[in-house]
Amino acid sequence: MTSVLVIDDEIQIRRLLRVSLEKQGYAVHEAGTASDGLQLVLGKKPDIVLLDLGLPDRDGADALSELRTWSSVPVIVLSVRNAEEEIVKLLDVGADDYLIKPFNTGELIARIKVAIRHRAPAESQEPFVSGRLSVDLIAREVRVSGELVKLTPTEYGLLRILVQHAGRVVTHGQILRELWGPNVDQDTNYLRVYITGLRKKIEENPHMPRLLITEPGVGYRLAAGQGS
Amino acid sequence: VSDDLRPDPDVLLRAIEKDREGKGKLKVFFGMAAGVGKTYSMLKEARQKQTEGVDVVVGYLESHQRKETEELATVFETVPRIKMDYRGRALEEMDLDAVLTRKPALVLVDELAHTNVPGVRNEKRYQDVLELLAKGIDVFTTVNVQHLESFADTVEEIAGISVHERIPDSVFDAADQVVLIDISPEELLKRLAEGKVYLGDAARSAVDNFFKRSTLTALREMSLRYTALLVDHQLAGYAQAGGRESPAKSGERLLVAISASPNSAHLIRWTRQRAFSLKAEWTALFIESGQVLSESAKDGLRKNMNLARQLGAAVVSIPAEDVAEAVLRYARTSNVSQIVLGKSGLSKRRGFFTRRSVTDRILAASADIDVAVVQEKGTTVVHTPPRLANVLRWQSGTLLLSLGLVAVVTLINLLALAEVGYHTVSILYLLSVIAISFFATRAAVMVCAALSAVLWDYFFIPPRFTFAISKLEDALMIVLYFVTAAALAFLMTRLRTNQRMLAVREKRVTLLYNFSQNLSHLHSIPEIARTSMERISKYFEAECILFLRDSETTIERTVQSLSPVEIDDKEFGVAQWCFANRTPCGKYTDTLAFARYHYIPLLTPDSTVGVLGIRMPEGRAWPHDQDQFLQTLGRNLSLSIERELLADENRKNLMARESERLGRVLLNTISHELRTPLTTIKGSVTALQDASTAEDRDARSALLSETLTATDRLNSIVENLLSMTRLESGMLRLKKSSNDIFDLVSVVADAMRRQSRDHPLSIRVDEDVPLVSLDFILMTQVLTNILVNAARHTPPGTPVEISVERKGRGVRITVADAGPGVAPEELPHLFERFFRGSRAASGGVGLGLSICKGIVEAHDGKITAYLNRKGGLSISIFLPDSVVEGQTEGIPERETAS
Repeated sequence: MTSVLVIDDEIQIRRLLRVSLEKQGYAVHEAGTASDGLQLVLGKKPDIVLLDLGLPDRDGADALSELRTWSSVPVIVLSVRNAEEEIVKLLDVGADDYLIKPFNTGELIARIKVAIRHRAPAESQEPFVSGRLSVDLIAREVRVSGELVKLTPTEYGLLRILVQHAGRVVTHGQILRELWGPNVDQDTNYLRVYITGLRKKIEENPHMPRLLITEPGVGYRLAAGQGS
Repeated sequence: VSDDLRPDPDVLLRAIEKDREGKGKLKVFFGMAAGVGKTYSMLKEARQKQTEGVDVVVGYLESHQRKETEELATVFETVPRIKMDYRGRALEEMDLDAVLTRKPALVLVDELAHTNVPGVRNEKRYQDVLELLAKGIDVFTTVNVQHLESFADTVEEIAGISVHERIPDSVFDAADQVVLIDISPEELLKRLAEGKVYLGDAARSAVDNFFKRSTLTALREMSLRYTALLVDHQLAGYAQAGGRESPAKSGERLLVAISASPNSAHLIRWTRQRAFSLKAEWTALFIESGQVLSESAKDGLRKNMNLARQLGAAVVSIPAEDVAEAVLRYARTSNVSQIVLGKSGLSKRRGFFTRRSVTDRILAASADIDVAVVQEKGTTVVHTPPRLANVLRWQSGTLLLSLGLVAVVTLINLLALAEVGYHTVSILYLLSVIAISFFATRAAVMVCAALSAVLWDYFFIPPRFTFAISKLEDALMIVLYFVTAAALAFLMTRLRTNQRMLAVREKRVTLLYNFSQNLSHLHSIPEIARTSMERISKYFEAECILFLRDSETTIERTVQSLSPVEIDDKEFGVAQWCFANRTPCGKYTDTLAFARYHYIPLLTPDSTVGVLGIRMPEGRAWPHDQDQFLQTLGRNLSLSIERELLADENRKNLMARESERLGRVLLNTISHELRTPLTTIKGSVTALQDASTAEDRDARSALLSETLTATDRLNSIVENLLSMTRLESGMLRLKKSSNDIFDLVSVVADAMRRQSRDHPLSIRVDEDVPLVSLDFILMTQVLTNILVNAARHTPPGTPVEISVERKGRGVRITVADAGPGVAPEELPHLFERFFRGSRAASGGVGLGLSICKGIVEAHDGKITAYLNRKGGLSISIFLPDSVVEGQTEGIPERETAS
């Protein structure tokens, strides 16, 4: 049984998550503080961690950095609005995804599934498919509704990163670093131009993106495919 | 009725205490001469206080090696004296700052009239004492009658010694108690004979002269009389405190006319004594008659003015040409009952040609005002109008020029004589005299008039080259010529003096007028400070600085100035002293004279609002006759600053009231707005707890849907409240980044579609819309708020359109609905906090649009509302070109065939 560790200081939220997750067939462990949470990651070896920002005992990014030194368990950050900077920081130190409170339980479960699936070791040989888009990373082929699409090298690199993280958020910083190396300055200007370009090529209506979703203040997310 | 007149003792006490609030009490042990036992009495009383538990220290004590005094003093803690090196001698003074730091309840300071060694802060010890009192420390001190400024002259006369150490009588008036230590002259002489009196290094002869029975009796009488007067005054003071119609003041008002002459000092002292015994107010008046004052005269004037001020006079100086008339005019307008003049001003001879002296003219025209003519004593320098020799010396430049002009005219006349005749040349001489009178002094013009008459006679009037005159007609002519020239000279110079006086007065009046006019138009303290400093430094041709009040007791460390100045801690300390003591000090005064600037406190009736510093350029003396004018300007400035301070306070109060009102509205709306969704949630959930309801699929689905809507609503209220708080508290900081408006619009539209499908949403975006630099999340909130409003206030099914277009160099985003719109008169209020339109559907706090406005304006943008062609409401956001980044195309890349 997949086990989930919920680290949140609000008992009501823990109870709510326990009920909804157990109903979905997950085993749930709870911790009220970051230090208890880290202990439980060691002791219970959960398959995924839901980490609340704003824990009473420790700074979230700090706890996560520590966790990442000895564990690669997927972590989804739960946060409130207007904490985008904090979220980006956590994603950059190794969180897998985030959700803004109050969230929709269905959305949470979808995110948990995506996060766990991506921790599965072997990289899929199958082309990535989402809606009318299919990307074959081995053949370097991008098709929309079965038609081959021409992409510039940067556009392709951008799409590759998004496909590799399909269904999860990728921060501006992560994309910039992967595309242009670690020393690139944090100017997201060009990135937006490439995103616009990419959308024109893969979206049905570039003004109403369905595939390449903007995560305000954080980054982008490629809508997950129907199957892996 | 009599009950009303009798002061209530409580009121009385309170009045006295109020006046003394925070100030120390001064007790003076007063005697007629050394050796009466003042110090001893002081110590005994201090000992008594100490046994009562009062914290007593010795600030300065002179035991004169008297054993009993020394023994008495050992029981007190003594603050170590400060050692000063003065011309190779080590001298000791009271360490004022050490005493202030020690802050005892009571400090003993012997010899109030002592003059401090140069180098310590104050020139005189009594100034130290005043400072101690101001800081709330009680002081016991001793003094002899001869040291009182107003008695010093008399004592010099009686005892034949000169008194150098003097204190202003006003210090005495500040005393809460004066204890007269009185022994009979016989007793004192006996003590003297027994060697119990220490007399210092005074010459034997002086001592013998002083300690004569007759002298001592006179001194004793003086001290007794003075003490009696003081008691009388204190009684009057209490009566006044009781709230009666000012019985303390006799209604008399004395005026003493002063000049730069040392004689005036005596007049000032005489007037002070008289005013004191009459319980009258008094004024020392100086008339600036436009006479050129030598440096020593200026100094004398400054001394006289300071003396008068120290003795409690109001010092006034008025520019006027006619001294007598000005004195009388001032006396009349200020209700003066008595004018004090010096006897030396009386004309010794009274002849037809002698002009009557000022004193004579005042006497003649004083009408119902009493005039006291007082014999000057002490220095017998009689001040006369500047002597010819002096005039020649001061005016040698113009005199030479005048003589040169006469010489030139003589030459011209010699050349022209053959053509015009010797009568006509006199006209040329007359012209030259008139010309001279335009620039030279009266004396110089007179000299030229006389000289030209003589020259005319010698060179032109036959027989020529002699002084003899042959014809009677010519003799008459020359007399007439001289009289005419002299009269012209006199009138011209008088006119000029008058004009100069007028110009001075005009300049002051204009400055004052402009000053107060200007200040009244300014509405911020920095502006007032700058403008006033500009005006003052221009008028005085001096450098001007300003310190503003920081708190009740301190001024701001930062100095206001027109050009950058360095103010070190020492200089700042002087300004701070001026502020705390509400007294002018620094340069050009006796207190803290080492300072670089002259400081005057900016006083208002109730408080001090700052300190004004002024400094003349290097090498120029401060015009002391302008002290009063500077103070007038200072008062104007203080009032303006106070006005602004009050206005500030008022604004703060208004803001507090406004925020209170908003707080109330907020509470009312919020409590309603929060409760509605909470009620929905609680209602739905409790309904679902019932098994039969939960099993009904339709009911369950409906209830859950309501719950979801309610939570979304709650969430949006919380978000808006948080945003409002951030905006209000100034904590909102834009995190700008370059963004695609399509992206922005699509994120918002997406969220909207997920929330409500009741309104078909269409998006129209111009192709050439550039990237914009904005805070993506805050802008998302703006658009979300507008869309939520549109959805909430329009009937289901009506369309909402978002359009983005280029507008000039900026970008415009418009959200148009097809609902009922709002009443046109409500349009301007839509963006106000807590405003809710009359046609608005129920629900909503009235915060959404005001938050939008805040955020858009933080982006330098504009948000407007108008009714569109469909009758619905359109909200338009205009973002100026400053947020536009331009059409950033990507780096051109070759597309890969994949």
